[in-house]
Amino acid sequence: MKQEKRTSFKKNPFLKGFFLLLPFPLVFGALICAVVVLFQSVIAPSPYFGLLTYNKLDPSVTIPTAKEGEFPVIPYESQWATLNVQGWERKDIPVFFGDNKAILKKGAGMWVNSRFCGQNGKIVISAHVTTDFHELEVTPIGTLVTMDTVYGPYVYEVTDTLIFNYKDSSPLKPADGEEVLFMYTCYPRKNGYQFKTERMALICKKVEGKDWSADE
Amino acid sequence: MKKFVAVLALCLIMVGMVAMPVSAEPMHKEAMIEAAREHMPDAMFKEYLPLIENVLSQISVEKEQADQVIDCIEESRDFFKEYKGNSLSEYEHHEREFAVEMVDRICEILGLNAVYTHSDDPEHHNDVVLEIYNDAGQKIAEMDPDAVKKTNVPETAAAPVNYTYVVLAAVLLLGAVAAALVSKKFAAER
Repeated sequence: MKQEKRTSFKKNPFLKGFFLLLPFPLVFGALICAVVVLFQSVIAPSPYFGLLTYNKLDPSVTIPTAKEGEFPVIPYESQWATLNVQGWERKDIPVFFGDNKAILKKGAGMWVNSRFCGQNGKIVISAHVTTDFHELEVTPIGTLVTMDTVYGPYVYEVTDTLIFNYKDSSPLKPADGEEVLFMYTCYPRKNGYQFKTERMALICKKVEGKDWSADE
Repeated sequence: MKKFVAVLALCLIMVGMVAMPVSAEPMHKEAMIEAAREHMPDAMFKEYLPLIENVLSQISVEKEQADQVIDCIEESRDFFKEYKGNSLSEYEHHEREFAVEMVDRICEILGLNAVYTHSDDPEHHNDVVLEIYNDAGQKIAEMDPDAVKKTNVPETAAAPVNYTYVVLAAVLLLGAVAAALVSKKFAAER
């Protein structure tokens, strides 16, 4: 009886066809999963993909303009500078006032408790390692960094690097009296999308640019 | 000569009247900053000076407002005397309440709105995020407990998805192999 059932099961043409065709959609699904994994771990974190998906400026954001001789009023969340680092593939990174999640999706962000260029203090700028600051980790000492602000150009030189834990905010502390551009991102970048507990910073000293601290 | 001097004096007075409202405002702001410098502990003042100046740079301040803010700072001198650190988490509950009230009062005087929300970061679940809005409802500052930002990816939930897709791909492949074996068995027994 059992043997008969088994024979009829094996002779069922529908089942034969089902098992014959089933591997194709399964392999297709596996391929899609593999493509997603490849995209997330290899393609998306690469700076070349970042260049393709470059954040165009939000047209609703008003860029403040400065009157000659006056330090401009820079509204929170507005773009106030464009950042370029010598030797980086990524060019013209927009720098916004503020560094919340929404801002960091658009470009680099300046911490609200830090200074603007030319104010003779610490300028703290952060951006994502998977996009704008992907090349920060491989930036050598001596590299020139330019900040084209709405009130004039500034040039800095990388003089040091720093690796610090994400719970340690002491490197960000304001320090007036000397102009320092402090650019940081997640470290190390090879971890791709994994949560990173370290941060790496470039410490840059001013080479050129107007000093506004005496005028204010 | 007398006429010339009189005209010159009149011109100077007129220029002064026009220029005064423009130049007085930074003085009011400076007076408030000076009061903070005088009464706040030095470490706290230096820690928050860029934030204070960045907020003040985005608003206009009248003399009356500046005087009220200075009064408010002077009234808080007992709080500043008991300096325990620059973070509110280092203070007792009643001290924290006092500090929040002080910030609220100063914001109210300056026509600002301070909004306190909880951090959406699981690691800082109970920490407070301070957002300051101007009278037009535009955000002019935001301070969250995480000064050091998460700068790995724009979307933080991406990491577990990676492993889900790897496991799913493996299961699908195993299923395909199993289905191919069954199909082969059917073919062999034809």
